[in-house]
Amino acid sequence: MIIIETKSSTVLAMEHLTMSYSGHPVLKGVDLEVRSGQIIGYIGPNGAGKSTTVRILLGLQEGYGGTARLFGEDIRNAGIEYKKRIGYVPETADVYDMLTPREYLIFTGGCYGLEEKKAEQKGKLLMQQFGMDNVFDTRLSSFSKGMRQKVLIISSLLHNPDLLFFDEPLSGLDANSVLVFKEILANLAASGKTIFYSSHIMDVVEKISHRIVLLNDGQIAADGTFEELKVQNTEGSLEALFNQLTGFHQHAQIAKDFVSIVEEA
Amino acid sequence: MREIFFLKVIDWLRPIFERLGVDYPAMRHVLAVKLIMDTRRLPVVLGSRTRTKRKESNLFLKSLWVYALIGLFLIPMNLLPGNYLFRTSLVFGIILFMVMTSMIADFSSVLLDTRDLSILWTKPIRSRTLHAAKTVHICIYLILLTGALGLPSALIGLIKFGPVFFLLFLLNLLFIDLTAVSCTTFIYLIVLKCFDGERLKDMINSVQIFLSIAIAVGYQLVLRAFDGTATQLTFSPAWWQLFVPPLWSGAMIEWLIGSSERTGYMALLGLLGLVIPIILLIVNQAFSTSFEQAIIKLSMQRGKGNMQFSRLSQWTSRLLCRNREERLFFRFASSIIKQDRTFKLKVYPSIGIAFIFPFIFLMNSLSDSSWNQLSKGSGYFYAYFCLIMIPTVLLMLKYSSAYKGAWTYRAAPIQSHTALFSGALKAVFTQLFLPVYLILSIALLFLFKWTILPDLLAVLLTASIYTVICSHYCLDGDLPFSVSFDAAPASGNFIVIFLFLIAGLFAAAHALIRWTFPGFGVPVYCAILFIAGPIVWKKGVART
Repeated sequence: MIIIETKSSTVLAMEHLTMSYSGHPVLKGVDLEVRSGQIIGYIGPNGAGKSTTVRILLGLQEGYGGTARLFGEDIRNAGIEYKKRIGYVPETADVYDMLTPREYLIFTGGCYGLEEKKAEQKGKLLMQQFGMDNVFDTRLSSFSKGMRQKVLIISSLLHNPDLLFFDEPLSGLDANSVLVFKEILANLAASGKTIFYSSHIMDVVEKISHRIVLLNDGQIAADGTFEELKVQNTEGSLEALFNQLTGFHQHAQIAKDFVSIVEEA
Repeated sequence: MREIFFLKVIDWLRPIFERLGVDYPAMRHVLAVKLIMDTRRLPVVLGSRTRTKRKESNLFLKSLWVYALIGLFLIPMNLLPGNYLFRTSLVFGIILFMVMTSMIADFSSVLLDTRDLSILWTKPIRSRTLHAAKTVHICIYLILLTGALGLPSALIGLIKFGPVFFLLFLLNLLFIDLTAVSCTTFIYLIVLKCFDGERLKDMINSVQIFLSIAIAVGYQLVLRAFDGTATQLTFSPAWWQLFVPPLWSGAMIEWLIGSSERTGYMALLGLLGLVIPIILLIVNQAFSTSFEQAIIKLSMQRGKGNMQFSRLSQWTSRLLCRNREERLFFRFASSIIKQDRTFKLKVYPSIGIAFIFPFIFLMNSLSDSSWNQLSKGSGYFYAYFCLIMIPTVLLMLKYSSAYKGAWTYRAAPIQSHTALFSGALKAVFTQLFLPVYLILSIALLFLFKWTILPDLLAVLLTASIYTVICSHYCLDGDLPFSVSFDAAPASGNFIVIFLFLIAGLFAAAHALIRWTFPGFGVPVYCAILFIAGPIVWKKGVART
């Protein structure tokens, strides 16, 4: 572990990142530095600003305050080169679903400068690993959510990126695939890649993350390894920790009220 | 991937793209995928309805023959007496009108597409390249469209006026397309830059209506540039002609190969036709980064839409809908009509056209007669032109950008789909048609006085019956809002032309009754329509 840490370099740095939509602040100054080879569990309640942060880092969002650096360069003036080293699985699972995996992977690979032959061959091999080589020429529109998710994961990794943004990547995956994917994450991190992992499934985040960053109301509410956070807060699981840190205790009362409204005549 | 013919043609233009700062291989890559996807816009089959699988083909290419047919009707214009200036301006006026209509209604959604933001923007491709891919994508279709429209005329020109005319004609077709794309982009850019949030979304639709009206009026300017009768035409120069693109084309051809009007003014007009498209293209490319960045604003679903159902709408829903279920769907359809951005992009241009056409025809009659004569005439029959928006809107009614939500129809315990259809049709009628009709009626009442009130009532009752007739041809058994817009046809649709003719028949019947039975004829006709209306609705909309 120590050896890796001395070798690692800063991959991602946010300096007092702010953002507001029509006067309403979403990010209220986020400072974060991430070194290579880490899996960052990026968590927070709905609307805390997680997606906005990722959108800014990917260049999908203009008009933010503060600085965001990727691979040491300010992304405001970095051009497009830095995007070559990023892989992204969006939460919305946007994909050109009229295409087949073969075509889609050749396309996304090509966008990162991969040659057609290379992208096709690599894509096919990766599909094989997920047991999906038989649907290599079937349109994505006929795929189940999990199958589509696997294609998205493959397309995000095809160009061997150094930094990965995974937004709820397990959605739709069956238990066996989840097991494989978690192992893949660990291996990717061990080979020096940085993974920015956003999810609401706390026990997965708890298990795979080297470091957990909790965003609440546009600010970082907690930052550290799971063990460190546990010591600070004396709670058993990440889920309980999450509730505590976001100041949420009324779940039992809400659930009771909810059902009573449902059953109201 | 399969090699695409269009791309091979575009390969010749590579140096031009590179000079404009476009990463050509990347642009070609994106374009190739977009073109492949265009050939696969098959409707998604919902539930039990199965459909025979169609061959991969481009929906737009299928609609081209309608344009070719219209192109054939342009041939006589090329054989009119007079000089090149007159003939060519006239033909290009119609072509520009068709191109702009298609650009605004069919391709605005391509230009303002935000769906693939997370696919394309996360890739290391410069926005300038993405914008170029988008522009070229639209240009390919516009060139095909103008080709279909213009080729008959061009071929006649080749036979009659020689190869130089032919080449100039084709060149000008290309310029017309460039002008159309660049102008529209530029106007949208201004709107995107000036507005934010919900205001922006509303403004875009207003701009569409405004543009439709502007091109319809603009076409009249082409005609106004020439005075006189069919035997003796004179062209009188005026400053506003500098802003009418079809006249540029006409002037360019006239100045180069014509004989009658080789004036300096003509040279200036013709030169504009060459210079403006190129300038617009360069400007378009120069602002491409800010355009693409501004589009991101559209993707943000912030701000609360005003979802309060207004008092007026509640009142109409109670007046028009027979039962609770129908009222529910009326309300549902009204909200979607008001909220779905793509739906609005495709439908609002026709509202502008429906609104302005009656006035244009009235203005044209005014040029031959005085106000006094006009108000005694039967110009109010032009009110029937506002019916033309009904088929265009209904043709889009089965499409939605949230078509996947249509599972609710099947999952919910709904007895029959009748209420769903009638509720949606009534929503279209009251939310889209009625406002246009009312404004038009008020204007016509001012012009023609109260005596035409029964006639306007007849138009309204006809519109209600016409809605049912159109729904029969336009919805094709599909549930409202249940099919992806990817499968939507382009505006040049044969069914629409057929339905226009039916609207014409209604107008003719009305006119016939008015003249054969003056006085009581029209009120009786209204009474018949009033009785027939509910029967048609009951029979025509019933579903199992």
